[in-house]
Amino acid sequence: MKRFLKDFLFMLRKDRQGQIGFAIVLLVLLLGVAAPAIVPYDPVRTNPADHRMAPCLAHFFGTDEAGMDIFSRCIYAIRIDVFIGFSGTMLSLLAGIVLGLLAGYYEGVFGEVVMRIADLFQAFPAFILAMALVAVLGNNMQNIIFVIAFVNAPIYLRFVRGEVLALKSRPFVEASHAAGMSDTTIMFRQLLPNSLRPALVQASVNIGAAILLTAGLSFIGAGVSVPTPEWGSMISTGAPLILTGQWWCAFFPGVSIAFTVLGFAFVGDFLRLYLNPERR
Amino acid sequence: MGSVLKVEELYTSFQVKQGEAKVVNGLSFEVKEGQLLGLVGESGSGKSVAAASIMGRVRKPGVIKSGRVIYGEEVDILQLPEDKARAYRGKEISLIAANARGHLNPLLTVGDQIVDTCIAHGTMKKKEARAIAVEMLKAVGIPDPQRRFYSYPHELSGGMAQRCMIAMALVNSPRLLIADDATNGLDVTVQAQIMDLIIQMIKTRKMSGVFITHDLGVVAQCCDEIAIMYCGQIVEQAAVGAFYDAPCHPYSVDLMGSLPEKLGDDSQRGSKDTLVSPLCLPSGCMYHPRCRDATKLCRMKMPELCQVSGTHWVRCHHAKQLAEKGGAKDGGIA
Amino acid sequence: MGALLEVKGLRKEFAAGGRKKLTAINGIDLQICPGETFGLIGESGSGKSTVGRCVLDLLKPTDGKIRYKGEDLIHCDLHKKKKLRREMQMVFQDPYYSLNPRSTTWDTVYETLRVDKCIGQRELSERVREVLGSVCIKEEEYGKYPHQLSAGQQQRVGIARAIVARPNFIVLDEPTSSLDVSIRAEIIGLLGELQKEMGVAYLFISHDLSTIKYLCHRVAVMYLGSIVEYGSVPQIFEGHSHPYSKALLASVMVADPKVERSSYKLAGEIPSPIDLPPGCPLASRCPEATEVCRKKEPDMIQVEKGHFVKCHKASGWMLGEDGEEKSL
Repeated sequence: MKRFLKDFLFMLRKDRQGQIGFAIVLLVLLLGVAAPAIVPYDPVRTNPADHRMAPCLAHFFGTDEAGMDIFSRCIYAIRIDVFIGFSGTMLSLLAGIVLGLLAGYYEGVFGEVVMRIADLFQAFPAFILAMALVAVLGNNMQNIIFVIAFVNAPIYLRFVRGEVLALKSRPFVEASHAAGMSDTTIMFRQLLPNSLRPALVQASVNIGAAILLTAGLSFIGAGVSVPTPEWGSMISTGAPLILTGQWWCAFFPGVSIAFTVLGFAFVGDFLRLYLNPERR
Repeated sequence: MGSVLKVEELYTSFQVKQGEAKVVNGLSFEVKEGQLLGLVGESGSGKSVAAASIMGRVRKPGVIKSGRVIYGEEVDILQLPEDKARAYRGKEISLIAANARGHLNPLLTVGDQIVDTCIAHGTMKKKEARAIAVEMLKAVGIPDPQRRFYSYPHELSGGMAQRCMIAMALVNSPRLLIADDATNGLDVTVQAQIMDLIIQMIKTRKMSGVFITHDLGVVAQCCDEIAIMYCGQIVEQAAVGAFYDAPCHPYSVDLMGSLPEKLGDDSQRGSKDTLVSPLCLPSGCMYHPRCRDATKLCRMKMPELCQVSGTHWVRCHHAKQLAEKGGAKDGGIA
Repeated sequence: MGALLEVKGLRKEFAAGGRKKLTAINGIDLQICPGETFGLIGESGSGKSTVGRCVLDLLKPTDGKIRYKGEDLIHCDLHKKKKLRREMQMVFQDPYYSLNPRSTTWDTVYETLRVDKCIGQRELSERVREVLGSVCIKEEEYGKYPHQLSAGQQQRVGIARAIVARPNFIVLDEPTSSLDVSIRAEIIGLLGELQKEMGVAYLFISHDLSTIKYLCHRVAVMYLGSIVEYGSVPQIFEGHSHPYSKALLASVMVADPKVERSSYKLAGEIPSPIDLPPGCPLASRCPEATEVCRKKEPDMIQVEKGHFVKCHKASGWMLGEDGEEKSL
């Protein structure tokens, strides 16, 4: 474990982009965790007296139509958006890995059926599919997490299955067969650790995409409902105000999204290099 | 006899994360006109990097540190600017690599690739080049060359692909042919065919050849002179007959003793299986960590190549004693 | 002596797109006795590795019988199959690829033995230690991953994994062909010693004739899915042989410049195993082929005790004369 960490830091030291990525992600997470201690106002308290205030010392990012402090809301939104994006991705990763492992190992009818179902879901644009699913299931946080998992799982499934198919013909797997190991042992002890890399890399990049999806759903009103601080819905309520000159209502949540997604994308790029055994 | 290729004190290393990997460490040898030299080394001995250095194909992070590679009489190819050096490569010296199919462009027909090589050096017209390419394909024993001209590499078997590589290497009538493990990965019967073909081509065209290989059998059957490489140096060089009668360097002796046909003899030795990394080369004699006869001197000081008899050179502090011992043993048998 | 492993009429075909069939093994018979090393020589595409995999039940044969200690290996219940499988192991060609890149030396061997549920924890560790010791893997190597080991050490770990369950039979699929000469010698020596100690039988698959000659008791030569000749080592290497064996032996480059290579040669290369033509498989390349060879597949003929040849001309050799069509 210690060597692992040392190696990690060694590679990070040489990778400027990775450093920026980790700095952003850590900053965002820290802000999210420490939100109650940082924010100057209650994010859902309305104050009609101060509505539509431009950024100033009292309200760094200004206030919105209902007089809620945009800075506080942006910080609090981390808890919603990053949480949904992260747990949705993890859930899809888990589902994708298990199904991919099974579909790769039991190629025949089972594998075929799983792959065709995955095809079916990937045939729709992710956003449309997510919208439809939310419409069916109802829009609460739990369901949004589930929908993100559902939409993304086929990606990981393909990655893991591809690796398993390649690994299956490797002699060390044959050796395990020859040694009389059971299918589960071979799958989970021999194949699984060797087939995770592409899926893990993809997952770290995808957290950003999942956050975008969450915000997007909220933007069209299919996500988290309004008083809850959430970037997408904040942009959605702020967008009409741009015409009347109150640009800050939509601008700051938008920057928050961009900033966070960029951070995760950089981290993903770094992991792609780091997890590649040939780079060591 | 004039020399065709002279390599002097060549050093090539690779800059990697863990430090500097010194792969070729002061390699010197000479190929005379009409000579067939076998350069023998195991994996990691730097033989392929040596070939790449000679052909100017060392890619980053590899660097040729110092040394001279002299083509023909007086030209040091390492000093020439890239565009001039290119005129020598492929024209004066050409290379046949292992894994022929990997070295052919999968999107071009083999005929076109030979034509391209042909046009690259000289002022030949496409039509002439085409006729020559077909002629070459025929010469390397490809049945139905007119049709095979239009084959793509994936349609060829390993042996056929290697024949095409040979055709490509010879189309500009070079003076020296370097075969870097040219028969590696081919079956024994095909290997014999390809080796016979290469030798026949070299002999009929009055060329010289360097065979880089790990197979002592190939060298014994095909070459005039043998040089054994270890850790990027030549540790022993001799005429083939002299070497196989009495190898002197402990490494050569170990290699010969490891051949399956020699196993079971009393003289069986084999060397210690120790990983020697080019990242941290041993002090003194490179072979001492694996050598069974290493002394204190071997650990301290790097031996020079010294002459034990007419054409027999050995890089070992104890070369003289070993030569006498080997000679005595040989005498005993004879 | 009863045979340990008996293969009869083994065939293996693969679908090769459309209605084409790739015949990897075209009906072969083999017997391997306990404690013996049986060599299988052939070039790539001859189906020799497929034989090894079929014998170990890693591939399901299309047709034929495989009996191990008299028990049918293909048609028996899973429980018994599993038990028999423990007695048969395999060592692979490429030592690096045959090891799990994310398992340490210790884990690789330990996991293999752990499949036997009846062994206690302490005995397990002891056995692993003992086996690793017997293949000369030092204790500091136990925690290393495959890429941290030299090729020779990797192959030793591969061998340790194969012998740890104390098998009676090991398939060695070109165990030395990707190793350097100096390391190869040690591995061959090690295999020989292990056989002496454990009395295990080997099926040694290789294209390296000199290794086969050194290590094996009996040899079979395979060409295009058929065994064309088999017999004891001196019978194959010195006695009368099949044209293919002759060509194969002629193409060996002996590491001695004084040995002249015989000029016996076959034309062309091994043909595609897809949709085999009728007749002798070698007919298209054989310098001695006649009309019969292209039409009719020859039978296995015993030319001397224990020496079988599959060639129309073999009966001529049996009589000790050059009788050309006499066998017809």
